[in-house]
Amino acid sequence: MKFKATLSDRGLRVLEKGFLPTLEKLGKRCQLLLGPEDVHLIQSPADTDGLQVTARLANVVLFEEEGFKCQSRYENQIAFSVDITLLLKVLRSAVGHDADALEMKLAMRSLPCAAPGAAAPQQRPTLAFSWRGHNVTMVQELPISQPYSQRDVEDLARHKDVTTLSPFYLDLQDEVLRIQALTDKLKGMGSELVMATTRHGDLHLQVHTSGVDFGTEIRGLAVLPSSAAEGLQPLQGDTPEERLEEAAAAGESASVVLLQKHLAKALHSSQLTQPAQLLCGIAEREAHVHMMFVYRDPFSDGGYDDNISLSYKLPVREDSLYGPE
Amino acid sequence: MTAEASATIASVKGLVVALQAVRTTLKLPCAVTFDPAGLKLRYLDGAHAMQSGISLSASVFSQFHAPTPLTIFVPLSVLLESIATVASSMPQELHFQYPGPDSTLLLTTTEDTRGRTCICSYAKVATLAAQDMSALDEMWDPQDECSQAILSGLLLREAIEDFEWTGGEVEFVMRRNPTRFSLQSIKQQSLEISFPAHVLDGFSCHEEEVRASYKYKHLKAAFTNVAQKEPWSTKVCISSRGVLKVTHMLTLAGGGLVPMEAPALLGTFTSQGSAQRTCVVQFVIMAHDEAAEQAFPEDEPA
Repeated sequence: MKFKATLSDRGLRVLEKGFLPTLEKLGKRCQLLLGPEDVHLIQSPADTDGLQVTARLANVVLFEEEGFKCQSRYENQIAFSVDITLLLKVLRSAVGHDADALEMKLAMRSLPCAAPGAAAPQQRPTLAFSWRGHNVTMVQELPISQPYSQRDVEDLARHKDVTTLSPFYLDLQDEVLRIQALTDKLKGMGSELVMATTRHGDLHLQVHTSGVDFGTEIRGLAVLPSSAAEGLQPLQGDTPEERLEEAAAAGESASVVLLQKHLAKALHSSQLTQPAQLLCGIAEREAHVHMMFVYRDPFSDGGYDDNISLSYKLPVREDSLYGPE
Repeated sequence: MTAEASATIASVKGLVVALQAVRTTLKLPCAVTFDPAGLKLRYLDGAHAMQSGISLSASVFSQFHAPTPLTIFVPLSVLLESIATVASSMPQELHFQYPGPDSTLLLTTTEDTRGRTCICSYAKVATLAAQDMSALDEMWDPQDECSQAILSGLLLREAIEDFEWTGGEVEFVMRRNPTRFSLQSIKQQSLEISFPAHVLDGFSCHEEEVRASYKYKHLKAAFTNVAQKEPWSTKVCISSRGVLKVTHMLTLAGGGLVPMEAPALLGTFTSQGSAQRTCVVQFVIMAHDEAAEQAFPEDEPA
């Protein structure tokens, strides 16, 4: 098992400014899946408080081509978990010193103070960083978990992302600030909320408590794929509720109950990575909520970057308090 | 035919800031009155020692319709929270309507629909059974002689906040000659704050000296929650029976009020303009009295 690579400037920037702070908001640890093509940063529901988070960064974004090596017996894939705060500390100190050529590799380190009674010095896996900055040369060893066994690597690779797309998605990015403000206020009203999406490009958020029925409708969002919105009759209803009922009756909507804190966290954490689109969709059979973040390619105008992606899977309540919608 | 009322306000943000003045976490029943003069919220605290209210004249609304006076009751904290929530998407207008579906108080927001995206929110606030609100009127008797002082609300807020650590109650002292208005704490700690005569924009005293003390809890609620950033003026009245009335004159900021056409005189124009945006917040506090306290045990928040 061998891993050695030099972080590029862009790689350092997207990790230190965008993706790691995002993941840090959601949980303490994250799992790294290194491969010959790309790196996945994964947080399973056990790492967060219920969200499944996957970030994929192609190696061309993260690393210099020269000197890259990633070899293992499992299709050259390596997986382990790290503490996000520690990893961020290492990267921040490198950024702070204008590090040049930040090299990272997997290494085993023998600890001199082994457990009492142990015959051989204990071996601990680490991810070693070395870099040169102004007047300083730094070598830091970040403790990591034991590398995953073949089965665990395969498991992680299989579950690394949501494989089936939802029937349609709404792009929330244009209104994300106001939706954040709304969800912040809604948190005070109750712990759960109803989320509904329609093919007409409307997002509905509703909270029902004993004293008040609250609802908000965000209209005119972009619908993807655009074929999902083809041939629809405009909704005739005068109020948000009537319009949602109308769409539901025509089978043009989907609705789930989810935890307020999940939605608020997903909306807040995502903005650190500056996505160009924030696609939100409800999966087939209302199984979960899927959020996908799409990024602009910095090297071309108007194009989207396939080398970077981030997605969240939000669990939904099956035994909904509000009954089937 | 049931009475109905509706109102639309454009300075939504200003309304949310003004309502901060009466913020509370208590689920007190609050009377919402629509009458041709405007919209009023009034409520009585659990111990029946303080009544509070906020009134918005009909002119701050871009549309106001209340042919017959109408009063409904809703839980205050739920109403304030609902208004803050529907307002959080910064809508263009906020619309009140009664009766809504299931005789709820319906709040809706509207937005310019010409934009590509727009947000419409609504809140249906369940109304409570009608309550006896006669207690709301009897605490302040306009026939009573009273002493009053008008000064900056910000200054008063800071002064009241300074009394926090003294605990217990604060005594208001007003003296006619020489003019003197001061606050002092008399229990365990002693602290006295006097306002110099030049900060008083108005002062009158119906006796040579007026003294009355009030519970700090009520003073804090009455003076310290105003969230307005611009200076505002506050009137403090103490009646001959020792009842304190605090009136804040707030300005509703923001929103698109229709500018008045052809101002004849600049002076009258400005004063009319500001009168239109005024929102009056009033607190009436009974003098601190041990006997009354035992008659109405405190309802503390759960």
